[in-house]
Amino acid sequence: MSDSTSETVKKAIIKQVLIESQSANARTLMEKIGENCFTSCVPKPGSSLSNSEKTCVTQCTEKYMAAWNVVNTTYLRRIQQEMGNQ
Amino acid sequence: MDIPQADLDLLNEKDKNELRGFISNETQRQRVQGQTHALTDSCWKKCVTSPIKTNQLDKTEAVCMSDCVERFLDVNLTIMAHVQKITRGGSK
Repeated sequence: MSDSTSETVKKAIIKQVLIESQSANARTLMEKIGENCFTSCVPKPGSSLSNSEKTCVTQCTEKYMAAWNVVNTTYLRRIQQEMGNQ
Repeated sequence: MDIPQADLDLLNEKDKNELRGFISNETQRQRVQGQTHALTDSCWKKCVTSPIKTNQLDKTEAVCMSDCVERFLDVNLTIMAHVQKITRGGSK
């Protein structure tokens, strides 16, 4: 059993896990953006997506990501705070 | 995820331990991200109620999102404390 082989397997596993967790995260984010921006931007679906609806969707996408970042930052700060209190 | 058993057998103890640590961190990180998704979804519905006109959160919305997270966690703590109290109190 050579160490370089063990090292290779370890690195491959780490890489694979990271790819899968990142793609799961991206998939969930896209789903949530889809649901929420569809609700916000297309209250009454017409026969096609209008230009103003398209603009709304692109703005909403970026805005949702900004909201995600605010939530993540606040949540992490709170977790750290509570770990400090224990 | 498919990793052949033959490959796993190649791992030495040191790398196995390193992987255990990595997996446990990664699991924790995934849990926090999952919670972030759920909270963003629920707080977005409460905080972003006017028509979307820009790609940024305005000040009020950003404060609302942040407060929403804090209050959600306060609610969680309150529930946990209460459940602990009523289960400790026996039949009551």
